[in-house]
Amino acid sequence: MDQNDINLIRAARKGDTNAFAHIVGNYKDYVYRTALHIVRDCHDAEDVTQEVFMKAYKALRKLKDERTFPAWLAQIATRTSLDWLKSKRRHPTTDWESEEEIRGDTGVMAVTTIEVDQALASLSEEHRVVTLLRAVYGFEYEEIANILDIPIGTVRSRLHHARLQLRQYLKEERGDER
Amino acid sequence: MNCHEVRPMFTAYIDGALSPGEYDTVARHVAGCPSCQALLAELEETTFVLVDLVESTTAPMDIEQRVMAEIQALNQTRQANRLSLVPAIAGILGFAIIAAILLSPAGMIIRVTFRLLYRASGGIATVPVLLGHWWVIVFAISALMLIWFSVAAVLRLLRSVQSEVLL
Ligand SMILES: [Zn+2]
Repeated sequence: MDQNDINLIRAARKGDTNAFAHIVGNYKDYVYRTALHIVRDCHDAEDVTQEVFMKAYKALRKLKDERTFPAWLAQIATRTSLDWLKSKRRHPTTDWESEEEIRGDTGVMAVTTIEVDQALASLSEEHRVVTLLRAVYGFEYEEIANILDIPIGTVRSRLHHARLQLRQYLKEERGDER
Repeated sequence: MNCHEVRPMFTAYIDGALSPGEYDTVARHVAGCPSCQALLAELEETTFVLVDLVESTTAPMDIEQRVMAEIQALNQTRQANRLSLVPAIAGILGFAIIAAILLSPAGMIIRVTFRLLYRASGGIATVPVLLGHWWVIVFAISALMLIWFSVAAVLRLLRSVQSEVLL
């Protein structure tokens, strides 16, 4: 996060919608990636991304320190994605396990990327969330602990457990091929 | 430290989340342990492909436009709500002012004046009786004139609004 982002957030908080448009432009990939790997449907991920930015826009005045914006936004993105998943499980509309629903176009993805994507999907929700906060945003362990409101030791053990499981999944996939 | 003790620290080691002391412990063990070296290398590769996967996806181009359109709609509704509040607040304020005046000492004078006027109007009511059926004609003529005046005024107003719209 650079000084330019801090200035944009300050301006947006004073009601400058143009500044907020720039913030959306700078952070949309982070939010979309979080949403996509939690809800696992590209159309749903778009809707979640839009919802996340609307929530951020409405609550921007409550943000005390501009420097905490990325963590704050990541928290909104994680919660909104998990809530979306919960309500979708309660009211299932489509077969959301189908591969085509997950990605619009699988053709552009390399074989390993598809494998890792499936490996990530095999993780439990809580392991996937910590893994994403680390992989998408590069947050420090302490930041992840604050975002999820869990002890730092739990972050450490969940991240390690998830990484071991991903490695195991990929190893088995490749072992099957050879 | 044995393998069992250092391995839980490997992910944090890769992520740069260990204390300097822990980092040294892991580094020293791995240097002399081939099986831990292999595991560490695999976890490093897993971390690498994971970040690669995440970065391979980007948000659709139109997300900004969608968000900004929704924000614009939100701001318009907010403004409309604020505007519709104006007459309501004005009404409540006007009512409160009248009530305050009537309840204040000055209101006493107003109430007394009102009562006096009311009594006086009782006197006016007896006028028609004195005039006989003539007052009916006077009343009808004045009512017709009033209607004519208001119709003329409304027509003129409509004409001026129309010309404004055309301009
Ligand atoms: Zn070892």
